[in-house]
Amino acid sequence: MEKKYNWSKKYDPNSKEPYVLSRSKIDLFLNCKRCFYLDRRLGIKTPATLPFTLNIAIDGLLKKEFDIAREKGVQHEYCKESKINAIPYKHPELDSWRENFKGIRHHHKSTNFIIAGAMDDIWENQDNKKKHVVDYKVTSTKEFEKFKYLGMPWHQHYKNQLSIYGWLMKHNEVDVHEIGYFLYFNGKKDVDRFEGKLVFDYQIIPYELDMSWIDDTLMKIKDFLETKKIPTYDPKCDNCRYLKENNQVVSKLLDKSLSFLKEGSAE
Amino acid sequence: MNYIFWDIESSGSRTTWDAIVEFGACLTDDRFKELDRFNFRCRLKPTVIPDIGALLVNKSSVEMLKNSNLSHYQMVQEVSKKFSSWSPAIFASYNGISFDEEFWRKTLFKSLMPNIYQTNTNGSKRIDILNVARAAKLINDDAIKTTISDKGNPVFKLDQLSVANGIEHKDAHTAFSDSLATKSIAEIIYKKVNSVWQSSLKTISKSETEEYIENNKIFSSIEYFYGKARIYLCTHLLYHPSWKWSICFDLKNHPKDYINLSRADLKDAMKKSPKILRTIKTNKSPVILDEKAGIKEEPYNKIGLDDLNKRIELLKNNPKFIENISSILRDEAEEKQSIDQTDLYPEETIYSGGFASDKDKNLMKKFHESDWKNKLNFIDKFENPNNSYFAKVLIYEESPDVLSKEMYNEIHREFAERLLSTNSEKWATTSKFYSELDYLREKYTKAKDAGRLKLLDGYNQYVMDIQKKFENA
Repeated sequence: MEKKYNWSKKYDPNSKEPYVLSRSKIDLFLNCKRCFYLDRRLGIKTPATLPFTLNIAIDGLLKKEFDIAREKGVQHEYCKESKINAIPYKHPELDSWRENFKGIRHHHKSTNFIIAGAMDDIWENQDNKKKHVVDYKVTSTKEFEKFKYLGMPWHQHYKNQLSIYGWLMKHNEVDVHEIGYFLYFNGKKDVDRFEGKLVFDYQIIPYELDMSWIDDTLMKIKDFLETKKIPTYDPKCDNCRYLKENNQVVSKLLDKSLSFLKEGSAE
Repeated sequence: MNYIFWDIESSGSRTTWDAIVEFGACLTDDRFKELDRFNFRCRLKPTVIPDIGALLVNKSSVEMLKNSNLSHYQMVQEVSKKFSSWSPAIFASYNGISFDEEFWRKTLFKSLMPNIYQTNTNGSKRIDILNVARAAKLINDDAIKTTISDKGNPVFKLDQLSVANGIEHKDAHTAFSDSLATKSIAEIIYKKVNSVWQSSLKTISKSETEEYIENNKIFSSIEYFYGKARIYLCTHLLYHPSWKWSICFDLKNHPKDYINLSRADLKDAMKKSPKILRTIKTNKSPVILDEKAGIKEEPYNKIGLDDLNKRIELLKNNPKFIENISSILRDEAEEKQSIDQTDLYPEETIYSGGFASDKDKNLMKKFHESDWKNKLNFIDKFENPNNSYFAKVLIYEESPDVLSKEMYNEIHREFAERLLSTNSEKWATTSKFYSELDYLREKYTKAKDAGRLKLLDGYNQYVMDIQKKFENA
């Protein structure tokens, strides 16, 4: 897949060039239409969060670890312990698929979008040779045990993420297994001393991929990006709520200032 | 979000006074794939007289009531732990908003559990599949098959609905089987009438329901009474000044006929049937659909969307009319509240007693962590005397030997007085039990139903033993 197209450009309805849409922007569309429109159409991005440097470090270490097993063609001990009969999969494009702002891509012809995402890993099932999409996750919580049900509100984003990677793999001629995995690590807080080390629990959580919504959603995104109407604030979106309340306060202050200027008096 | 399909079986239908005897549930993902399940049976609380009718329906034998592995208290702890590990989730029950939910809350309340609102707090929400099934049938008659009552109305009893829709439901009226049947009904609606399912998910919490009705100036409210589901095309006017429910104007009426009425005339008009105002209980997961569902129905289709919108404008431009309604509703509520000021038993104070204080919640946690002997130390520490009473009752029911003689006698006499009462009480008494027994014995003797008669003998012996125990109080 051609990598020349810019990953974070505004959408131009008049452009004939394929438009790169990352999986995180698809998630933004599902999460808040207004923020998505401001971001992709008008180039107004939501405030950036602090980088998750510890998570990134752990992702990097896990990739290294799994690459060693990949090189040897053996099962990683986490899979062994969790009785998952799979080994890290060797694919010539894997390094590129895992790299940020390159990632695995597919040109979706009906929308002229290039869907892109940087995945963590692929494991090959040793029983049927199908490929499991894998995402590494890191957290620190007392409720880690219940994460196996993937029922926390943010887990829906994770499920979407894994399904999109599966969809991208499928469109890159990979024989995808219907089950994907989250390799989930939990930094323990109940240890006596820190001593410069974090101690982790882990669990490998299976998820049956759901790709049924993806094509339809892409069509909706295409239509949506073609409109010229900015959606109203979404009360469920933190950014929208902040902006709405902020705007209300600011406009009240402006009204008061204007009335003071006009009449020479204010409350 | 994940779903928890759940159901209880109980010793009777009085949510304040009867006891759960069986609890079943299964956890699924948002595509109804099962992730976990449980089914618990427990012994009947020693302070409860069962209704024979309920026991026959849920197939509880005396053996189960007396010798199940778990006590009632242990079952409550287990279920609460399970639900907590499965949450947040959407708690889905069948006719649960008015029954199972109330029963479970009151059980948690009497069992001194710190969070009695387990099914609709900390991110969890609740949905009543019965309401959704009625709405689905109304929107797409073919999607849900039902039997028809003598009066020609569709029947939504879970056992009959299961059969009509080809759902395997071998042990109807047992908790786990009913929760699985509820899941199957939900799946059918999800697949066949997805628009109704998706709409139902928009109103599964109070805040989401309020958001919906405030952001949609016209919508279809589904109500069910006299055996039929009905659609009302409504607009939200105000929140009830006391109960906080949404008061909506039924747009089949023209506001011009009402906005200039005097307060007294408006009060009369509000009482008349068909009602001009519809109440949406925003905290009860109502089913609300968009205007497309209602606009097809008479007389809304004849009025037309343009005229309906004009009616909404007229209402919006007459705040005095809305103020008058609010004031009438406030007066009615105050009148009702003044009548209800009777002495309440501790078991009845779940809503009137306010939320438990943080201090009491902490004590509850410690109470449950302690062994029965040490639980005694908490009795006098609770701020709310009702919690001290519940602590005593729990110890009496579970480990009476650790109570002092004085305390044991106090609780023992209290329940002797209640259960052996010959008055018409709010709870089940031995005398009520015996009259039901006499009636059913006659019925099953006539029907030559030896199996049922044998069960009745067992129940009789069970209650006679309870009676004997309390007669010595």
